[in-house]
Amino acid sequence: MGNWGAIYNNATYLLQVHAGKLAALQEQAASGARVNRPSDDPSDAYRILALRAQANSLQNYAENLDDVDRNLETSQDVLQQVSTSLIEVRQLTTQVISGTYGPDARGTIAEQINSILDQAFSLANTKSLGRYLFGGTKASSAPYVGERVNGRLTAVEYQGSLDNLPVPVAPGVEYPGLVIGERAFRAGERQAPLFMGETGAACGSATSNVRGSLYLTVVHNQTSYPGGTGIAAGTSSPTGDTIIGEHVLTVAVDGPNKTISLDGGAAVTFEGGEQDLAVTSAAGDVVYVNVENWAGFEGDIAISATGRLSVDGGASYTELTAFTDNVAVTDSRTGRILYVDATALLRTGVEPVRVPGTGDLFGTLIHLRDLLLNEPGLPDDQHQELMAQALEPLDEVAEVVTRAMTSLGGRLQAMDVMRESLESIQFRTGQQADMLEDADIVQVAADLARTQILYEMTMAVASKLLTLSLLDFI
Amino acid sequence: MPNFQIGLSGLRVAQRALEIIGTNIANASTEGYHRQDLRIVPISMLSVAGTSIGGARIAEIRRAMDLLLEGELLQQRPRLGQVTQELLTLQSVESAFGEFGSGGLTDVLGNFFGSLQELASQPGSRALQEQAVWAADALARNFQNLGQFLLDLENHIGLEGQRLMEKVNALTAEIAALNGEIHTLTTRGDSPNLLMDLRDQAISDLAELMEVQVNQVSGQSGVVNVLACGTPLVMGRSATKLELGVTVGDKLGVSVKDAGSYTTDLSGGRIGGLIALKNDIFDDLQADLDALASEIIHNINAHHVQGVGSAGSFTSLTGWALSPAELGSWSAWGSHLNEGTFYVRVTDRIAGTATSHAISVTAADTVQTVAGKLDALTGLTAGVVDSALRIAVESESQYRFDFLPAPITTLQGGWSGTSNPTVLGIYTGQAEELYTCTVTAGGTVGLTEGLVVEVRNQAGEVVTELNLGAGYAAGDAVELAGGLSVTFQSGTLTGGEQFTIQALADSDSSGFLSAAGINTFFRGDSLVTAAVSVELLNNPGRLAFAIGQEMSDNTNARRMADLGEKPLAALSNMSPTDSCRMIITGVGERISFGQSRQSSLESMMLQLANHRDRISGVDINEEAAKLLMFEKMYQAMAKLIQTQDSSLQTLMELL
Repeated sequence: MGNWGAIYNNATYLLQVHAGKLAALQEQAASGARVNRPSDDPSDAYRILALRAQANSLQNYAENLDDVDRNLETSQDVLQQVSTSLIEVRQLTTQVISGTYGPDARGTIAEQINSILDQAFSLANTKSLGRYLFGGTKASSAPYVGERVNGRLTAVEYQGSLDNLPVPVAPGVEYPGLVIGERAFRAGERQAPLFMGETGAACGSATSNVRGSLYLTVVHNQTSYPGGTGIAAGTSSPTGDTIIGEHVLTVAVDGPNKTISLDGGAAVTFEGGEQDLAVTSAAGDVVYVNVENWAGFEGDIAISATGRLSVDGGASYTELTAFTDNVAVTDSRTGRILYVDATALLRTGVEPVRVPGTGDLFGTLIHLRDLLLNEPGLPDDQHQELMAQALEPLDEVAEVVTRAMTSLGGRLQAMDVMRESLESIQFRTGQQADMLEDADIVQVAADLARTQILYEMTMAVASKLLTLSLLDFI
Repeated sequence: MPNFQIGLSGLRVAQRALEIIGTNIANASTEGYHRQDLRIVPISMLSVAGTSIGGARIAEIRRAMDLLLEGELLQQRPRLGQVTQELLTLQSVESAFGEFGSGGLTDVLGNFFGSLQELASQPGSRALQEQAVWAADALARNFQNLGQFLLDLENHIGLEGQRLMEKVNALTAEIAALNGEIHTLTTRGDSPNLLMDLRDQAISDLAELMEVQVNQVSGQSGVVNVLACGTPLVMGRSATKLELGVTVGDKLGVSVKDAGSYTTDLSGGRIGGLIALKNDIFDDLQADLDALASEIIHNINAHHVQGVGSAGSFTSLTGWALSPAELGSWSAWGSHLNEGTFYVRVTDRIAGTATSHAISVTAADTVQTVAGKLDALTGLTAGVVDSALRIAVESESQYRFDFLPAPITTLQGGWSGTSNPTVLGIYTGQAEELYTCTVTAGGTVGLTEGLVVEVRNQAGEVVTELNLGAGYAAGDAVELAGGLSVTFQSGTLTGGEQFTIQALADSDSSGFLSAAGINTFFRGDSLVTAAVSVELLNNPGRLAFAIGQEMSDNTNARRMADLGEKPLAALSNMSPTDSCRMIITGVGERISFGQSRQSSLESMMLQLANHRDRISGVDINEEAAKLLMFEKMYQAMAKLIQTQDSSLQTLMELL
């Protein structure tokens, strides 16, 4: 048996050791965690902290993913509604094309299209949680701004951003968080402009940057006559002539009958004193001539007419000084240019122009509504012809919207996969952290019982040994 | 005649033995007490038939001790003292980190970068902007608290060191005094065992405070000299006082009192532990944490200064108080502040123009000269107000300024084209790039076949060729490189003419804006000074999440969020979050190692103490046995004397 000092030393040391162990086990049992501070197991603590950080980061990614998902789901709904509206517009347009609709009936349908236009405009400016969904990175201001005349939208401009908002949704993975309206509602595969009128204007060789459907207005300025024929411009010529470019007047004298014709058209009899004689060509072009100074000239007279062009409804004009193949006509409202081949320009009028691959939802609907109401004042046959072609831009826009929906659907599907993957990683991360961190409660309970017994044994043995003494037997 | 001397000598021996046993039992629980053993030797008193007859005497009362064991205990005690002291303090530091609970450093750091990541999903959201600012504030406050805690702990270490040093001085004085008394008694031929125990206990107590060496003084029995780190603390009867103080490099050191020559080369004991804590462990920890805070502040600020928030460009900005000296003498020069350029973009809202101006920064510049350069720009005024740089616009209705890294387009002198390029997008390259664009064949944009602009990078390599002739619609954006695109308006381009596009990866390569506190996210540059900019706290809309010209992108928010996991050279190529975890688990590692060492030392000390107790300790039972023995001896000696006396009486009666 050792001496009392050793017994005391052993007892105090071991009681201290056991008490320390008991405290640690009690902490583990109470917290359920094996590692309560880094010093409990530094290497595991490092891993636990890293896993926790990873779990938090994954949680942030998941929140971002949810946010993007919410936005895109809503955007998808909006696109779906727009798509449905376009189908309705198409049905209405088809009715007009295939039926015999008078101006009133067309007006009614135009009103319906106008309502759909208003609805589409409102949808394109949809907000979710205070953010505009179709403005790209510019989520705090309305992406579409409309101009209204008498309460009706006459132009809609995209003022959102053309930049994506890449949102981090997983480590190293970013998804566009908002839709760029200009890409969802406007076609982006520019083709050469189509000139669909009778003015003789054609597509210039330069690349125009006007978009969608528009009207090229060709206005007459002045008709010039060569000297020596006695034929000159009539008093109504500046405003009444419909010719542009080079034309031929033919004066024929057959005895007492004197006639004048334009480009081989119907001959018009004149007496010689007329100051404002209307001569119409076979194509319907009109020129007003003054024949009061005619002194017997007979034969062809080469005349030429100048004019001016406009693509902004007459707000600004480009003077036709030369009939080149590339006359730049600028839209004063947008600064965009239509290059016109004016070499074959023959007459004034309104030339419908469409740039395939550049149409947008609003422009197309506005154009269609205005066409139904024949706001440009097109002749009936031309109007009919244009109405017959009205489905093409509509289909183009519908295809763009459908493509945007498909793309969005694909993105949403990819995000679902991403979410599953994230959740799986999150689960595994949490599991790994728990495995490292959690206390084995059964083991803790067993250790606790064992240590408690040792603690009690230490006290009992010390007490026993310190009680035993020879002194008791003296 | 009977010789009573024999009985008397036995009685004396038994008497003394009983006294020694009493002393032993009385000191059974006295720390440092060594059991006293008697050495009894026979004494010859007379010779009978050639045989010596005599009694007994106490030749020596010695302390039961093993010098080797005592030496080993003296050697281990300071080690345990040091480990215990270090552990106590490091455990406080570990608690201050608050890990594995909520609000620990890794938590707030993760929350900060996480909030920036979340902000990237909705950069314009006021709620998320506020969340990010408050997360930054929580991080800064955590840094401050930790910094303050370490400062307090350092002060506490200093005070504790002073207190322990007073104890050292008291102990050395006590040892010296006891040496004197021991010497006196030894010279007189006494055995001053109790005094030696007292002195040895004082030495043992001293060893708990610092590592000591003990040498016997030759020629002076029982007297010892005590040395610590080569300095004699006790020389016989005289003691040298020590003092603790701060020496070069803010290191804690020990010096002979009033000598002013501090040595930091002291290990062992609680004082050694405090010195190691202050000079090595805390210095390293402080440096690591300061580097972490400083790198986060610097890198976040370096991004933040370039961007803008929901509030857009600025009408005025004021930095923090700066030194009026040349920049080259600033402490940040060479690390976070260098020769370079920063670009300020001034927007004229009336003219609808935005012009980027390069401001060069050199070592010879002062805040005043930089302010002068800014002040010279159209639309801006700048100056030094209360030692801080202040930049403002000349007219709030007309001008705004910012530091966006917008690409800078410069037309070559004599540019005759009527179509000017406009560069769009955010440059994604890591380093600044200069693209030289050459019109290889001139003509009309959108018309001329073969109208091409060739784009070369700084290395002279062709990056791309832009076909701007037939097929290109004026105003359409064509991809350039590095995330940039360019548009050309209608007009003409002249063959052979050039323009350059300076793509900025960083609009402040000098780091001046960060150093001057202009549009920064954080203030301060260390653990204890870290704080969120007051402007940002007052107006979270100033959180610069965007660096694009439209000011609505989330590029800066993403770049700042990415910093959390970006390896940084100043953090030994670890990311801030990794570094933070390493620092925290590093402390845990030290504690764990310390605990294991403490446990091993305690176990060793227990074994040594047990061994010592077996040799030097008092076993009551053993003493009780001796008590019985000497009691019997005493009774026997008394009986002997009584018998001799009785014999003598008988003899006397015969007479």
